[in-house]
Amino acid sequence: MARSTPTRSSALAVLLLGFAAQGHTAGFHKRLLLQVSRTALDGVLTMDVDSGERCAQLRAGADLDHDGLLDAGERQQLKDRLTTMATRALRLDISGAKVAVVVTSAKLNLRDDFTTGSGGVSLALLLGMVHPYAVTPGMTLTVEDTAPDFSHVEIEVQQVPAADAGLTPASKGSLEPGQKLKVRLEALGKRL
Amino acid sequence: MRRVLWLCLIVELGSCTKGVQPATAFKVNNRAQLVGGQRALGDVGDFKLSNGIIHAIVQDVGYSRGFGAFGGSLIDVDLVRANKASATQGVQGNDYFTEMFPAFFLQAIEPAKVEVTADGSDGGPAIITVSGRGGDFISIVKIANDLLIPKVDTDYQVQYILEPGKQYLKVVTTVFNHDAQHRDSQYPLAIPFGFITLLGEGQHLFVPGGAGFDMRYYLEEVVYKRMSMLEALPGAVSSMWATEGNGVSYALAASPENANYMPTHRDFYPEATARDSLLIPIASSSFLGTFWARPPTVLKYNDSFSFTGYLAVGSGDVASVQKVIYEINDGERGKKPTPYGTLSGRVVEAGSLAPLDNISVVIQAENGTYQSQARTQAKGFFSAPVPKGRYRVIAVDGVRTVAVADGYVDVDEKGAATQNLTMERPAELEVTVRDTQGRLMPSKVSVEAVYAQTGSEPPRHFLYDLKVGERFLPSDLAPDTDDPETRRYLEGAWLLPSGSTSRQLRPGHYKVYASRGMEYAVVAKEVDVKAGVRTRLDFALDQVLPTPGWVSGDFHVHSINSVDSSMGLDERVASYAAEGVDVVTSTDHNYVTDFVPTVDKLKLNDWLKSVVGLELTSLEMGHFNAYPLALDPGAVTHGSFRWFRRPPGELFAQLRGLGKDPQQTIVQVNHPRDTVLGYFNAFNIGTYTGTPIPPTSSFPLDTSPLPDGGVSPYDPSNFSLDFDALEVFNGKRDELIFTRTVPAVPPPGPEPTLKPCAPGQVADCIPGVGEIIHTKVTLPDGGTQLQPAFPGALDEWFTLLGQGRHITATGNSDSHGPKAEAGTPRTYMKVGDTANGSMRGLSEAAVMDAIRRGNVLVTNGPFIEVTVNGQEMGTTVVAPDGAIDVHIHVQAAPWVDVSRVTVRRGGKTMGLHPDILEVIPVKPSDQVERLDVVKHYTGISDGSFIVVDAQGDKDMWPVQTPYEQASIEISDAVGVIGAAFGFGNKYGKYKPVKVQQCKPYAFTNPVWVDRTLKQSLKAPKRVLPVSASEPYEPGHLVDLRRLYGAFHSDPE
Repeated sequence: MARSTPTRSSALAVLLLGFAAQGHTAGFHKRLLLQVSRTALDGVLTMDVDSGERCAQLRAGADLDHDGLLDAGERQQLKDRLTTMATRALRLDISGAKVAVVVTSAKLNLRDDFTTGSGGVSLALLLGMVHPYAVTPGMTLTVEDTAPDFSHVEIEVQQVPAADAGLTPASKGSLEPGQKLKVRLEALGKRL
Repeated sequence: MRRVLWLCLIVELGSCTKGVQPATAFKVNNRAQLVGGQRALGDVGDFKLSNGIIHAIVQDVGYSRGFGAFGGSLIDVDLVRANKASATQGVQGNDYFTEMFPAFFLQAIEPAKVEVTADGSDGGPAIITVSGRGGDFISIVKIANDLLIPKVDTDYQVQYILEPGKQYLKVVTTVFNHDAQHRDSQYPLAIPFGFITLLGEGQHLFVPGGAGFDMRYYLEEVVYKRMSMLEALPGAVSSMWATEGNGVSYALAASPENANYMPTHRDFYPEATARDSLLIPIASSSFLGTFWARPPTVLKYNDSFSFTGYLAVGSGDVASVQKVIYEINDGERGKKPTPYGTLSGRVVEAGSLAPLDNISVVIQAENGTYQSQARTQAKGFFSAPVPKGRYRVIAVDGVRTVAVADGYVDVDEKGAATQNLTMERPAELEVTVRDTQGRLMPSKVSVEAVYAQTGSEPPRHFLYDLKVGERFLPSDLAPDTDDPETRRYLEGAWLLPSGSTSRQLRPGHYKVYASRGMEYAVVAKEVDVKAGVRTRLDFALDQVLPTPGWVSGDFHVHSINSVDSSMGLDERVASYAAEGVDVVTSTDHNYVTDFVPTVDKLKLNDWLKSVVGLELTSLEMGHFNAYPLALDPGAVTHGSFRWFRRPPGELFAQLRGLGKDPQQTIVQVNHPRDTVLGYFNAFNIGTYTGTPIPPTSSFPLDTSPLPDGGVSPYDPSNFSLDFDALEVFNGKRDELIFTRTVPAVPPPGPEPTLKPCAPGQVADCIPGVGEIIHTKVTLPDGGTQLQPAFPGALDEWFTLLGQGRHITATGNSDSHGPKAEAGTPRTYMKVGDTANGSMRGLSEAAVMDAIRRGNVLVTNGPFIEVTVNGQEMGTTVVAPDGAIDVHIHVQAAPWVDVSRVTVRRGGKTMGLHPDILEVIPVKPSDQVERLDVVKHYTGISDGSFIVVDAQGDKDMWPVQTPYEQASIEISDAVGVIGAAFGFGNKYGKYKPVKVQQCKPYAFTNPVWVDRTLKQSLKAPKRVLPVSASEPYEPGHLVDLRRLYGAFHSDPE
């Protein structure tokens, strides 16, 4: 049974690296899966925040009574705040008609750490929007989004086919800030 | 600030001097981070756990790279080794673990997400969490799952937890009732939860208790023979299972939390001890089911249920990994350490007293159960942990008689006891085999002995003991009488790739045979070998049956790169040269292997040609070979691809896409009638129609639509005949070739529930001797169709030929190890001059062309050449008047019996079976020439085919040993479990016999006969492009609510 025992110099290296890591801005990893049907636009949006300073700030900001722990009410606040952060930059329209983002359910995961430490957090949102006009083939769905730290967003758009139509391959993209994903919509079926 | 820095440094150093490396969990982004090893399947994008002692990989979401269906499983586990690692070559580890996933009875998790939920940076455990809903990984049990698994929305979560300083993984599985309708989850019957583990060959399973190393026969002869009961599942019981392997071993045990399935049914398991909580109902080939948890009868909405297993890693023997299990102290889950003592000793050689290392020592309790196993290390010492009790030790080695200690010793908790053993000194036999010109030649030597026992007991009951890990010794399967010729077994079968060898063996009297497959004579010499003495034998072998213009090949071959084979590449390649096969095709399960480097290394290029191939192995749809292929050395599986939830036509097309030349790739359907592994079984193909008919099995595959409404891959509309070859003759298994008829003397077994046929009754009854056992199937249009209860591939091939389909029949060994001799059977191709001389000059294209054309003979001994009106197999003869001349030339080596040759005509006008034009008796002879005749037949109708076969009645011992040790297939195990729930077997003792001698059989591919000249049209084959790393594409719309539901959320 081999065990490695750190030496003094390697311990110092670990310490310095740790401080270095403390100084680095943690990242947001945002993913969006949209499903377009004839009258609706549904989706799942997830956002993972790396452990580190950013998470420490987010957690501390939610700790209203400054006791170092996040109780149920504080976690709800944190969830609401993250939901706003996650959806603020999301823009959807179908051939110019804007589709307002509607969050029907939200889940927060603090990775079993309910303290105000720097542990990572994850958010999942269930989106459910109804667009005002039934989609006809040839219309275009435009998606624009950015992560809170202006990193890219992974997007996939699926189209629910009409009964007599084939399954259109999903459109995938990695959106950088300012970029838009345009998807031509085919003959669509009812919402699943 | 500086003071703070120094303070932190002191704190850091303080924690370092504890000497426990933290555990970490992360997503793999570099191949140097992988585990590595023979069974390693991890790749970039998967998730890793490590604590400096052990490390493990959990596969990301997607399709399983192991034998299962889904990703999210534990796929690699090993001790951390100080081996080389690089981003391109990966890691030189020793992972010998294939796959493990939780099972909710026979349902698994279909994961939606795999994530790091604790990376270990806080000094605590590192955790990888898999979330998802239930998925049927094997659809033949869907009928059981539908009855037993509640129809509410349950979420499953698996946490793989690695703590600092521990040599085991803790696996916590939780079931959550998150049903949106707020329904309670009710389990109508007590079904157990646990784990499915795919260990693979190379890990020898040991179950403490009555089984030891022999779960195979323990289940069959002890457990499955018990009364089936609805109250509890049949299975072996134990406190753990463990394995022995080369440098690494594994063990699984359960925490007491909710481990109450077996204990609450203790009356049904009389052999269970207080320590036992595991139930093992299935241990077949590489598939091990271990169950212990019993969910509550009602799981209320918002409630959850958990069970915990511990997977320990050892250094190669059972003792090393048992010690880890015994020392587990997990207060959170109620797992306390198991008190134990130590039994140790030394094994030395008789006479010289030299210590013997690498000897297996099994620890047996006084009540006859097997407790542990250890390997002797340097200087012959062994040591094993055992609970308090009385034990003795048994030393096992392949070239020495088993040594058993005199008497038993007491071992107390935390105590120690010693027992030493002395083993005999082996003899040594040096052998050379040369051709008639004196040149050393690749060959095989079979060392035969005779046992003393007569009677009806199988040799495994007295000749060797599988429970202590002795190796299987093939026997002649003749009824044992006073005649020693009926009591023969093989002490060894040695491969001589270079024509010479020197091996150790047990002292005794032997008859030693030299052989080189069906083209060579067999020469035997008797010898006495004594302990410590080297004896030499020299042989000269004559090629009595040269086959100019022909080459033999085996197109279904497994090596260590298949999960269910432990045959190393050297031994695998050597076996083909030794058996005189000219062409060997690598067809490992979902792994593309190239034998060329090994052929080069062994300098066998003049004797053996190697072709790259693959066996695309699905769980239930069938097994499909493709060759010749291009090798993709970069991918983890060198080019294999996802089969799960894909229809067969797509698989065939993508197999072609892997080929060197896609349009020239041969796609071969293997063993089409082999239980759940058979393609024709999967689609319920009618023997007399060649098309899908309603299922006749109690456990049909699930054809209901996919969750998104898509068509099931098993839907009859997805059946495809877009393949080139059909493996009609697989290994030594006659029951897969021939449709089952009622034997004159049925073997022992239970009486069938079906009655003998009444006058005029032709189905769903037991007919007369020699008749086919039929069942009657009702078709969707209300009509009926006769279907054999146990169809054989030969009849189904004839049906397809009769429909005008030019599908080439092949015969292949499907060899996974030494018990299945290489090239038994084999396929001969007529390739012309390129066949003669060194195999370096053999044209691979000519071989494949012969297969495509059908100029191919399938045989395990007799060699048949046939022409019709002077034309060869695979061609079409135009006979306007329906008259043909059939030239039949049969040859065989003297040791191969041929007793009759049958000429058959089939075609558009045939009935259920081809017509038998003639049966030609062949006189017994030891001459190579057996038959050379020209037969004239008339009245041959348009669209006919002619096939000739030859059969013998005497077995081909010892060159080809009997099929003696049939595996327990998944379908057998499911059948036993099904019987526990009332799904019985109506055929009883009339089911096909699997255990059988190997008798001569050969058949030709057809010569086609038409009355008029016809132009055949050849459409190009469908090809799908292949990408090296195929992403998981579900092929259907994602269920967003299910995906969202799988996201693990903190409590509100």
